[in-house]
Parts: sequence; C-alpha cells; structure tokens
Amino acid sequence: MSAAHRSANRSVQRPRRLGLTPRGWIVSLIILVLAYLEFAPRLGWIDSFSLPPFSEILVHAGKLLVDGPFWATDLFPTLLAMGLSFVIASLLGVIIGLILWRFPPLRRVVDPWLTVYYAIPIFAVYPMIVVLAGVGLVPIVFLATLLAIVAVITATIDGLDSTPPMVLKLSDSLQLSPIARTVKILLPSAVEQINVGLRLALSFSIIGVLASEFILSTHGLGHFISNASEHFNMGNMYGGILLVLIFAFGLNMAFSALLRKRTRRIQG
Amino acid sequence: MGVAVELHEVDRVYGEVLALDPTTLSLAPGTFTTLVGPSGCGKSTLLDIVAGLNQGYGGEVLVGGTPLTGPRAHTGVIFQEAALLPWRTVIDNAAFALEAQKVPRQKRREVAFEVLRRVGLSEFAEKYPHQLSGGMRQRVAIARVLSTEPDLILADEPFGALDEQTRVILGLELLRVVRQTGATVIFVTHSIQEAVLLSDRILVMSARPGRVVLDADVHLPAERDPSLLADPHATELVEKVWGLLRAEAEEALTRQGGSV
Ligand SMILES: Nc1ncnc2c1ncn2[C@@H]1O[C@H](COP(=O)(O)OP(=O)(O)OP(=O)(O)O)[C@@H](O)[C@H]1O
Ligand SMILES: [Mg+2]
Repeated sequence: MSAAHRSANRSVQRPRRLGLTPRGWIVSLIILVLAYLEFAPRLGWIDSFSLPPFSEILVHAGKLLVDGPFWATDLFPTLLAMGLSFVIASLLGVIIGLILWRFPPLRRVVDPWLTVYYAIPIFAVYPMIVVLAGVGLVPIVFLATLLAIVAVITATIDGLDSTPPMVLKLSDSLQLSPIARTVKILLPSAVEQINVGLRLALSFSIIGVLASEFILSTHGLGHFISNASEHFNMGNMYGGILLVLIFAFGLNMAFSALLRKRTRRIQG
Repeated sequence: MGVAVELHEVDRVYGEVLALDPTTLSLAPGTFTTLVGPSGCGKSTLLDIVAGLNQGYGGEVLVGGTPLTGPRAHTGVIFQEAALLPWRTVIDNAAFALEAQKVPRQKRREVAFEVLRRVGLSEFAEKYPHQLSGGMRQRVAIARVLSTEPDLILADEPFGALDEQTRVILGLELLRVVRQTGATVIFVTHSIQEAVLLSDRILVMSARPGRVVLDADVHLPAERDPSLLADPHATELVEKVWGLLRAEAEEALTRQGGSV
C-alpha cells in the first residue's frame, strides 16, 4: 500500500546477478579497485612516485589525522567553513523560499534568475569577493553559501507548491497565525522536497569550500592538497585527497541517515 | 446550540464573471440545509463566503446576528477531501482545531479522544491517515470539526469521493452527531437522494450565475433512515428537484453550445 511497504518488500527479494546481490557487487568492485591501487605501483605497472601504493596513502592519511598542526591549520578550518556554509545556506534558503512563495510578485521577479543560477560559473566572481572580503574564512564561507543556497531555495518553493489547497484552506478556516501556519502546516508539507535541497546544499558546501581553498587560500584542506601537489609531496597530496573523499562520503551518509530517521518520525 | 445565518443581497463577481447572483436567505438556528445545483453554479462560493474564506463579495452576511468579518472560531468546515495532515496521527489530527485555538495538550487530547469515540474511531487514535479508508478519514475530519463545539457547520460535498453506501452511512452519522450538538448546517451535495434524506430544507440553485430557484422544506420524521426515501413525499421531492436540475443543466448546455 504505502511506498515504505513496497520498498521493504523489494529489499527482501533483492535480485541476484551471477550469484551476487547488488551490495555484494559493489563491495567486490571496491575491493578490486583497492587491490589494483595497492599492487599496480608495487609491481611496477604504475610509477610508484606518481601513485604510491594504497596502504602507504592510508598510513599517511592516518598520520595526518593525529597531527595537531594539520588539524589546526587545515582540517579544522575546512570543516568549520563547510559546516557554516551548510547551516547558513539551509536556514537562509528555507526562509527565502518561504518569503518568495508567500509573495508571488517577488517570486515572478526572482524566478528566472533561480532557473539560470547554476549555469553561472560562480567561481568567476571569486576575485571580486576577495577584493571585497579579503582572504580567510569569510570569503570562503560566502562563496560556498552562494553555491549551496539556491538549491535550498528552489527545493523549498517546490515543496510549498505541493501543499494541497484543501490543507491551506483548513489553515485559513482555523485562523492559524502566520508562524503556526508555517511551522505546523507549510514546513511539514514541504519537508521531503526540502530534504532533497539540503542534501544538495551539503554537497555544494563541500565543493564550494574545497574549490575556494584550492583557488586562493593560505590554509584549509583544499589549500593543503594544492600546496602538496605544487611541491610534489605525493604523500600529503594523496593523503589529503583520501581524507576529502572519506569526509565527503561520511558526511553525506550521516546526513542521509539523519534525514531518513527524522522524516520517518515526522511522517510516521 | 445552533446559530442563525442571514444573507442579504450577497453576490460574488470574479473579474467579469458573475458567479453568484445577489442572494437573500435566512437559515433558522439548528436547521440542516442542503444546497444542490449544477456544477459551477456557485455553491462552493456561497459556502466559502459564509465560512469567511472568500472575501470581496457584495452584500452582507450575519451569523448569530453579528456581521461576518472573517473565519469564526465556532464555524466548523468539512472539506471535500478530508484535509488531514498526513504526518500527524488520527488523534493529533482530531485535536488540531483545538491546538489552533491554543487549548493545552492534555485537555485537547481528551476532547479529541471523546469526539473520535463519537464517530467510532477511538481504536484508530494512534494510526496515521494513510492507514485509514477514505470514509474513516472523512470521519476524522468530522471529529476535528466537532471538537470545537461549533454552532455552524459548513460541508462542501464532504462525501463526494466515497461510494454510495458509505456516503449514506456517513451522512446519517453526521446528521446524528450534529443533531446532538444542535448546530446549524449548510451541506453541499450533488446527490439529490442524499439531500432529501439528510435535510430539513433543500435549496436548488440555477446554473451560473447561481440563484436559488427552489426553496423546499423536507417533511420527513426527525429520525432519518434510508427507508424514508421510499416515502411518497420523499419521492415527489426527488422528482421535483431532479426535474429542475435537468432543466438547468440543459440550459447550461445549450448556452455553451451557442457560444462555441
Ligand atoms: N477564484 C476564482 N476565480 C475566478 N473564478 C472562480 C473562482 N472560484 C470560482 N470561480 C468561478 O465561479 C463559478 C462558481 O464556482 P463554484 O466553485 O462556487 O461552483 P460550484 O457550484 O461549487 O461547482 P461544483 O459543483 O463543480 O463544485 C464557476 O464558474 C467558477 O469557475
Ligand atoms: Mg464546489
């Protein structure tokens, strides 16, 4: 009957291909790739300076993780910038979405811009932001927020548009205050679409921060990697890249799990 | 107790279109009045005006002798779809009107449970709307309306999406609980049988611009049950309303045909 019920059924009868479940295939593929990354350099198929064996990268990344100064100048500023951009983009995005939805004339003016927004290479304005805000945390967070916020705005508007008209009429007939209407009717109605927007915003925050650090920054994980590559410090470079992958993957997984749990609670 | 409703020369224009002809009506407290008429004749418009949900009409509406300015706390509205909030349990849906009136949680849950019991849903209090049938969902909407002890209930084709049997059962159920509260009811339906079976008075509206073309009292016993539809007075009334509606529908069709 419900979608949850169907998907539960599906997961029980996962189709097997060539004796493996989809998950089994993914795991074997990952193992295969890792094995290649480990043994290709060792066996001399790949120049081991350009690509050290995977185990060495792993060890190096582990060393970085217990290195105090690395945390202080690179990892922490990056995580802070990602967190700040994500939170600001999420909160502001939902609020702006609510305002645009509430005032259709305003929305008509802004809508065309929202549509073409992601076609604009936002990093092109980076020099301008540096002139205005200097280098450091502020311009990085600013840029990453700019990148992430529109996903939240459009998702929020989409979600609000999908509120059934009868439910809006109900809220009028019960004379809900604007705040009660927003909290008790509008946001819960839109929560699924907003979640989609928040996941995008998380990815955009991560991308925005790392890319800004790559382009122009004196610290942060992005800067750490670009600096290492400029100085042919392959250990640091691959270690840093591995950490980026692990963090990006981990944050996305954790966030998805959180959303699933919350949505299930909100929607039964 | 129910409240009197009076409309003085109430009309509604949308742009160039006159949706509702100036209408003057007086409904006695505690009466059950049904509105029937061809599609698009302005029934929902009229109901929304009385609910305070449709502004910009002409004329004056008095509810309980007081000029209407907007939605009232003691007017309960039942919509065509149940308009439940899918993320809330049945009891939290039933309690939602009281929550909007800032009744404390413990108190509103008590009242909600009591009204759910009256519509036979107390066992489903902790279920979610998607776990209920269409008829049960509409019962939750009725419970939500009853929870505020309304003196005026407005229902716009509340059972329109249900099958014939469920529709009759729920209609009689609504009638029973409404009689207990003594609320005044305005009920919109497309079913002439339903109108005759449930109401004290039937208003038939013409095709757009809507105007009352028949105002008939239903002389049936206060205790209603489906067998009353076989009563000679009931069959006569059904015939009469049906004849009028057919004439209106035909007129609307020829008018459309002429303008194409
Ligand atoms: N917001 C609106 N703007 C413009 N026209 C409207 C609006 N609401 C209703 N109308 C028009 O007013 C007329 C009456 O509409 P209304 O919804 O009251 O009819 P109804 O009798 O309830 O019809 P139905 O039986 O199909 O529900 C229709 O012609 C409709 O198109
Ligand atoms: Mg209608």
